[in-house]
Amino acid sequence: MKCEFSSLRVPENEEEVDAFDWKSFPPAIANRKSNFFLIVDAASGLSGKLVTWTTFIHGQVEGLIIAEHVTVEESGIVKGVIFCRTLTVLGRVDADVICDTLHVRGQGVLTGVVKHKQVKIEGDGLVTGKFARRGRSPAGRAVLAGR
Amino acid sequence: MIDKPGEKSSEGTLFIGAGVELKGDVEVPAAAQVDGKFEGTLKAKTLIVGQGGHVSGQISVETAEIRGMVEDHLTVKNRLVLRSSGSIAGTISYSKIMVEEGGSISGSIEMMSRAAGAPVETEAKVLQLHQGAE
Repeated sequence: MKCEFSSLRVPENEEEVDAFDWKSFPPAIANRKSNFFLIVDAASGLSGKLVTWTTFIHGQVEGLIIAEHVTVEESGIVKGVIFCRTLTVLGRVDADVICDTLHVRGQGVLTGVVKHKQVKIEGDGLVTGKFARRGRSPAGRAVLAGR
Repeated sequence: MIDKPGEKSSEGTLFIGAGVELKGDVEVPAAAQVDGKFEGTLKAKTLIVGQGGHVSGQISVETAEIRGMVEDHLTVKNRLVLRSSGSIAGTISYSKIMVEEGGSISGSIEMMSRAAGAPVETEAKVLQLHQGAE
């Protein structure tokens, strides 16, 4: 199935984020018939724009990730921007993040500007940066505007 | 205060009950439990904010467990636990953090000490990476 990814971009404001329809997200449409996912293994690195439905990152990614579900595994390193519904961090993320659910697990380390709806940080997880809960306060919109 | 035998000592402890409002600078040798409202500067070993509790101002503690709301500046030298009903907004410094699902955290967050091998990138570096990705 051919997907049109070139027009995909990260929403620039609160309204665009809320209006983003993950059901119409091309990889999600393609995924209705089969379970597609992308693994970036520990020996691999990617630079640029990564668009996928679900991704498990064991290696390194630098750039923009647009995906419904992103898991940065223990050996994984991501730098750049992540736009997703769920982000699970067990490795290292130095990125600006817009997501619905953020879960920092194990030894996960997250640094950046984070816009989230829900966050969960477990025992040894480390976070640094600016956090704002989406869809709530004007302060949250300011963080998004400052990206 | 004389504690009954078998009861945990409450020496050096501050309780701000529900419906009580306290403003000012307070130094608490042991635990500060806030179920009411506190505004000002608070130094304590432990801060416990109950579900209806509201704390704002300059807060500096060793450990904190938040079920209510904390605003402005919160420094936790050791462990910060944000429960599902809790909310923290403002500038937060911590050594260890645990956030339950449903807990609300917003503002500027920094670690007081970094784990070995953790990244040392500054916010500027992160933003630079962001710009480079576009």
